[in-house]
Amino acid sequence: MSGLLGAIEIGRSALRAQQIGISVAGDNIANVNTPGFSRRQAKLVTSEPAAGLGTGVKVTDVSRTRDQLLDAQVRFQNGLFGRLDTMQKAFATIEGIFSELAGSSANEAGAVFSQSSGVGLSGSLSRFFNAFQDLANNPESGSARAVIREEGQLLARTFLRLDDQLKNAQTDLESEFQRQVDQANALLDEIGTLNARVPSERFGGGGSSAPLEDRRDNLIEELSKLVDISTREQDDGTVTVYQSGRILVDHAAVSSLGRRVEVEGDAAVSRLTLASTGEALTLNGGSLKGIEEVRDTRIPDYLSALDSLASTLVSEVNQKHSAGYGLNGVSGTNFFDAAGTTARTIQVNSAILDNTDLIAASSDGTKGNNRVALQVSDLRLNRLFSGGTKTMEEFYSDLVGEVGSQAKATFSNLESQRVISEQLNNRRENVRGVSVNEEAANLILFQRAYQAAARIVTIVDEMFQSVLEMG
Amino acid sequence: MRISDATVTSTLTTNLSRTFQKMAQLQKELITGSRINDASDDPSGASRSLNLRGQVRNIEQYQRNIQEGQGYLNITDSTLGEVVDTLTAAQGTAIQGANDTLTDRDRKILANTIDNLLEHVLHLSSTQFRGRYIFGGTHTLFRPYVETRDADGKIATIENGLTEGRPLSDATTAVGSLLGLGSPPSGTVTIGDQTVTLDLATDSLTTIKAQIDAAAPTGVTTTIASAPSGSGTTYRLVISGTTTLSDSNDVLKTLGVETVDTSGTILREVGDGINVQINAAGKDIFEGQFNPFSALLDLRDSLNTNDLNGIRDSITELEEARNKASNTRGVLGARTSRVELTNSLLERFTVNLKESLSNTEDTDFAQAVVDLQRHQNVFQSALTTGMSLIQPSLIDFLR
Repeated sequence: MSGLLGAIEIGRSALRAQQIGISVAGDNIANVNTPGFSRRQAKLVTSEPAAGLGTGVKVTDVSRTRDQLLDAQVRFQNGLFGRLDTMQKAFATIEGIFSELAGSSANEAGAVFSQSSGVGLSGSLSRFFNAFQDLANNPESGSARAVIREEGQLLARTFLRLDDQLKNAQTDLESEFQRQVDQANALLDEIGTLNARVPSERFGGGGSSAPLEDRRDNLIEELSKLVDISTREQDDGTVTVYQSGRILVDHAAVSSLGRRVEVEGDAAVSRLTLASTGEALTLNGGSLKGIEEVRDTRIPDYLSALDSLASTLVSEVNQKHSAGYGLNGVSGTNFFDAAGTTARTIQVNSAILDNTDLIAASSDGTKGNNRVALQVSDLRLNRLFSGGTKTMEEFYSDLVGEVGSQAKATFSNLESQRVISEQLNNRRENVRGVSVNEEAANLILFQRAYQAAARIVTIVDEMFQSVLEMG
Repeated sequence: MRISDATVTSTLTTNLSRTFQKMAQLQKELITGSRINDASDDPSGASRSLNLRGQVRNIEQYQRNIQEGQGYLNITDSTLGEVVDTLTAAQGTAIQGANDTLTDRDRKILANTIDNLLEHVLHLSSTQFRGRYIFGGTHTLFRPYVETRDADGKIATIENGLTEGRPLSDATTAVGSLLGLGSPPSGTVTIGDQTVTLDLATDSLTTIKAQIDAAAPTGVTTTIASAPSGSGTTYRLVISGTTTLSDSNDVLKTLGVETVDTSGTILREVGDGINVQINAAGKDIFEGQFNPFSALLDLRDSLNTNDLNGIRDSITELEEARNKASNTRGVLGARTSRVELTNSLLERFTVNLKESLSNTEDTDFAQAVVDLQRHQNVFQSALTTGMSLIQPSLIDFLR
């Protein structure tokens, strides 16, 4: 059968192959800007020779150009990036809560340092203790006492606001955790569905699984930003997804993620589990890990620092204050409600709210005596924290500094992680991405080959003519 | 190496956005004038700046305290000066009165002069600063020295005054239970020349007043002063017209009525934990063996009775009393200059603090503007290269 018909068959196979080549190049160019698109390559193979002669060309596969090692690295780095990215957002919020710096440069020092300043805790503390100094200047005064009551309430409110906002941030992170677990489950479901279709639609089966695989791999990449996962590609084109050694997706079978709610401090927090068994999963990366870190470690740290500041303030002020005499000669009054010793519950004694004459300035009951007012005010100078090395204000400014440095560390880690991820992405894009130049060259190549193949058919046709004319 | 189109654009855009981010940060620093807008901009700087600002607030408070204290010191000083001058004038009168050639009538006239000086010193001893008696120790709300007068309205004696009672919410309930006392004091109290027995476990303000009135000490009037307070009314026991009070069981003291103790000290905080006494205790000036009141009273009486020896003794007495006032004034002056020195130190310190605060917080404008310009240049050239980089491809040359 290696006659003229064979030759025309060769021409036909070449035409078909080049045409596929043109389609593939066209498809690549069309998707040059499609995110997550891996460029396709038509795999051209010589047809089985017959009677020692070649029979042309055939396309055995239209495959995706990929580097599995780079894919795995990208997924791993995604986990690191996702964790830092989430922490960055959380820290930006937390930092704002502690911020009393904005718009407070020394240029407007007059406004900043005057009594009107100090919405933050540092300012409120100063104002509270300075109000006691003013009482020491006017120990017989009712208005100095009214100011102390206001400043005391402002201080309590500032504690409450900080506590509230930190706990809100914690609650927000908790709902974000729940939302992301749901999102991860939706992704897992779709990955399973796509996995199921891949084997049957592979090129040999008459279709092409490349778009399905692209979509699935994009979803896996999304998932790797949420949870740290590892993957293994099976021979049939499906991908198995693991998290801390447990299989989440195997072919079409999906094992969903679940949550177990635990109570930590005042907050209810979710932990990641395997929904089917309820077994706890260990997070090592991904934005869920970032949420867990800020929600379960950082924020509780800040909250307990505020609580210890509040509790020391309450007990120290009460101890000094209750030893003194009020304007009405009554002694033994607590300035702060002794029952409220946390940032959330600290409040001015309700008896003092009703009657500011109970605010004590005097150490012996005479109205001009200002010893107790001075003693209360001097608490700001006492090194009550960190083993007697820090005053209350220093303890608080250290806390702000700690929040700042943890935020800064997160921000700069995120920046370097971003560079790493970008470089990795670029390396991968260089492998799988479309180069228009390359595809244009391919177009010319296939076009020329198509033209040549057409010539073959024409020439063989002319040969047929010649043969027929022989008759 | 193979480069895909996507890589070229993504590299360009990420670099552009990074430069843009830096420009935004610099612009923020320039607009706010502050290098630290969030704690993470410079954590140790943020913490330092909070501490510095706390220190500045403290110092500003100390400066307010000093200002207020200086007023107190100044008025005390000038009042004491006046006391010294008055005593000097009295000494002159005494020397004149000791002259043998004077007649009884002349001495009576001189005694009148001394009476006026005595009134003046009594008035000075009741000097107030912002509504507070400055020589009453910490009993600042009550006249420290109270006189009794004879039928002619002349001062007979001057003794420490009495304080007014503390406010109570009820005038008819037993005081002990009103104050929540476990074992209320009881015992005898001598007021003026009469003695009454009071028991706070059973007596209310009204019954106490009735008992004192019944005993009727000479010249003593007791009143129950009422004043509206918050939701109700408060009642206080006020005893006036006497200067002698003996209250060994602290019965009246529990009610807040006692002899004014003028020895209490009033302090101002002028530095971290540094307190300066700003008052002069009345006890050091107007009380004790030689004091202006007794010296003047003795002199007046001696003049009235033509007691030449008494007059000569009074000259020494007056000398001693004047020395006491002068000495106190000297101590006060030393404190005043100490406070002034502290104030100027604080002022210098504030300048230094504000400078380090500015160094910590403020934007270095020149540097920031130069940096911004540099980033703008980078940004612009990146844009220009980007344009030429993205456009041409082989497609442009296929015809």
